[in-house]
Amino acid sequence: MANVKINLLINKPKYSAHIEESNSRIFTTGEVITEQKDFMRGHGTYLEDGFIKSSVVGVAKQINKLISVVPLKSKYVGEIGDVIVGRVTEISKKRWKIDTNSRLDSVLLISSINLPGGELRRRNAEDEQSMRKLLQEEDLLSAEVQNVYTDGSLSLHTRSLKYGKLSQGILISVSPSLIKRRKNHFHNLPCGISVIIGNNGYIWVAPIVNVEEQGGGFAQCLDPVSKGDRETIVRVKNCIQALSACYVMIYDTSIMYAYEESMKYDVKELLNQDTMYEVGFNAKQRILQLE
Amino acid sequence: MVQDLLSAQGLRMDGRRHNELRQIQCKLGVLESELFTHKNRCDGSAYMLHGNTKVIASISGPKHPSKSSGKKDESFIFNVRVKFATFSKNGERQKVLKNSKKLGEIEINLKNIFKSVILVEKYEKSQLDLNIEVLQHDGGSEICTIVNTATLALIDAGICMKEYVCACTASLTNDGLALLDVSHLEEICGGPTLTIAALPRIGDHEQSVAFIELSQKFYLKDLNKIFDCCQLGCEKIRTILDEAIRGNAYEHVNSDLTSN
Amino acid sequence: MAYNPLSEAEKIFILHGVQDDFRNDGRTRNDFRPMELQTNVIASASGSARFCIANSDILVGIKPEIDIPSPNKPNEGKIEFLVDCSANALLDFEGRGGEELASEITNCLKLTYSSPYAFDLKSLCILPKFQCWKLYVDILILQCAGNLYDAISLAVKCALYNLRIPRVTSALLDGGNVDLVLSDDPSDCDRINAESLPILMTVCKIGDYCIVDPSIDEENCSTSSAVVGVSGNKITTIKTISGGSFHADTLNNLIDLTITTAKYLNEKLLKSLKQEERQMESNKIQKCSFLN
Repeated sequence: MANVKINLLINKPKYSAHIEESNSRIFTTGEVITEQKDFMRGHGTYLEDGFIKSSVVGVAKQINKLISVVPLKSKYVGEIGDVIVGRVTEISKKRWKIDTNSRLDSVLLISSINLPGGELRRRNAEDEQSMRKLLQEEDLLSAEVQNVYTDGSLSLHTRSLKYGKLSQGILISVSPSLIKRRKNHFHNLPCGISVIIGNNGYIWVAPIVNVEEQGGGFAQCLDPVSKGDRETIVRVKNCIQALSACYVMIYDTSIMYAYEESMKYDVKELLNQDTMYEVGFNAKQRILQLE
Repeated sequence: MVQDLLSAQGLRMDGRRHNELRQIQCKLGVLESELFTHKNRCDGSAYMLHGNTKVIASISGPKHPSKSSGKKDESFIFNVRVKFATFSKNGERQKVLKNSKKLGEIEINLKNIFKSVILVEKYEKSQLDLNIEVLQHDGGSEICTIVNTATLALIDAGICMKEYVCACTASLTNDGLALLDVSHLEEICGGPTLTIAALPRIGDHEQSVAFIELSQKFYLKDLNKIFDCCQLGCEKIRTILDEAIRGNAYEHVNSDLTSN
Repeated sequence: MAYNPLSEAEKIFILHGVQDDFRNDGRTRNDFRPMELQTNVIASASGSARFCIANSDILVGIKPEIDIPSPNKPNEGKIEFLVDCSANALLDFEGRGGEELASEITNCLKLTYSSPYAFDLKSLCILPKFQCWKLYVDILILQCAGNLYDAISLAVKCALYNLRIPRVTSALLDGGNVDLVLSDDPSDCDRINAESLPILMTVCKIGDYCIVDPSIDEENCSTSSAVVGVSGNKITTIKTISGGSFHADTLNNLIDLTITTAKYLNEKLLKSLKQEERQMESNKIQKCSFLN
């Protein structure tokens, strides 16, 4: 029988994280952060009447003399070395245009990829014509930010075996500010699946594949995924959405905590908001205890 | 002559005092669509109830300009679209308005107001779409609610701006007392109405005004009075918006963005 | 349809998931996503409702107006639907693409409500040949996460359940002029029996299997989809949407599936509507806030 659940909005509980005394101070648009004298202004700030003011709502961050404000929710602002997950939107001469959740489309030049099997590129017309064989429109890929152009758009590269075209799996999109910057964004989780946590807020959940066998990262495996793997992938996906709904930073540990907290429920039960929030908040509590 | 807008007890038709706002409720991020992975998703949204007016605003972008927009010379493309739901007004059903003069005027006003506060230089070559849906209104000064809701939606989307934009109206009684936040009833009773959208600064900075509109006439000597009243209203609205924005922000910050 | 790009590999993953009866959010082929409803959300409409299936968010407002019956149906009222693909939903809806989808859904609603089994237009007649009610049902799509047909039909049903039509206390024919007296008491009003109002149900065929309540991604993967309007044990309309074709046998199975599922869904919906009504009465909340 079909599973149907209808909730009444008048009974909807207000889910709110109980506000605790937080060390991090919120700056709102137009608020003075500091006098200009000894500081430099970074992202999310502007200068007026000799003061550095916040241009967004978020938490101030200071690195040496550089002050910036990180908005709670925004488009992805790339930095060199970031790991991203993106989708091809357009193929033009010598380059792919990639949607990376940024303000402008990013660019992957044909010279910035490793050809399958480490083959060297012949710089001729034929080579450009076969671009679509490697990556076509709507394909997903993982890559690294190589450069940030002056207009803010990104150029990417996949010159490492771990980067390349993505095969079967599920893409989840969360706010880029929820992604914790770490050394490693590629994880094989202990529950037996792999995640790529893109700095741009796109997260890829997929079965574990052996990188060496893939040979350059443009081959795809289209065999059916086992039911066990599939269940785990979907569960992890639902858990990441729970974390995002509760504004918990997303990294391997938090995903595993949410995964463990979710085990007492069926995967599809995690679609219900109350279950989702419970899992998210429990994971958050465990992270707080850790600190 | 104009009917008296203030009773002998100093109360207005809906029981407010002369310097009181109507009820305002607002919420950020009402159209959460984290499930979408395509470019055309909603990047920020807000809802506001002000008196009897209900407005939803949503933002898409900043993003790569769509091909249909075609304007390549313009460095920053800011599209505004305002719509009134057919059932938004009491009484007869409204016809579906498309490209009407009234909507066009509101759209242009909004464009001008927000282009003056958005830090445009950060959004070169990109496109930002603002969509407003008025779900319910009782006529009159819905532009205020629209501006205030749009401010919230822009902030929700993390768009860089100089300051909140707050809009408010004021009117004048026969005795020359300024009335804050004119309701529809008061408006049809016929006092003059001043609408401003201001950038109320924190601290003792002067407010700057991004938009001003006056209907009907009154003596010039009263202008300052009514203008001050409007400014006061904008400050009050700023406090309300600020509360909502901070409340929303603290929920996020529990997860500690600083740990980056 | 709403456009959400998917790579070939992602599509294959979804396809195999449907085969395994384990979809991308953990549902089986017959499961619906959680739904939410609230009636009486817009004070300026005589009947209104907000209905969400996951992130597909629909708002419906109804305004009744007095009209003259059409000459060939002198003792029937009128009902008119209008779907507005508000840009809040998806900006893909902007321009022509949105209008096409809107008129497609509008037509489908019109078809399914035109059956006398589904909706009795006679009850909207005030004075045969002279006066009747015309219901304007306006539908706003606030957000779209797939399965618009189902969400919209359910929202319309909720709004019709919530609808209060002013009671006509007397209708007299005086010469050629009609003299109508409407009740002064706002609580004195007519309501519509919502029990047998039709539900539209989308069924998508992915691979060899049919699924209900498709998400946007699943809609993109489906080879063919159909919308079936169900009222009680009867179907009031059937319409294929998007390209593709069905085998006749599949179609039969599909209709059986929709009838049983829609019946169950209908029961649940009416139960929820009644529960909401009881709660509103007992708490005496006259709250009209749209989002709480």
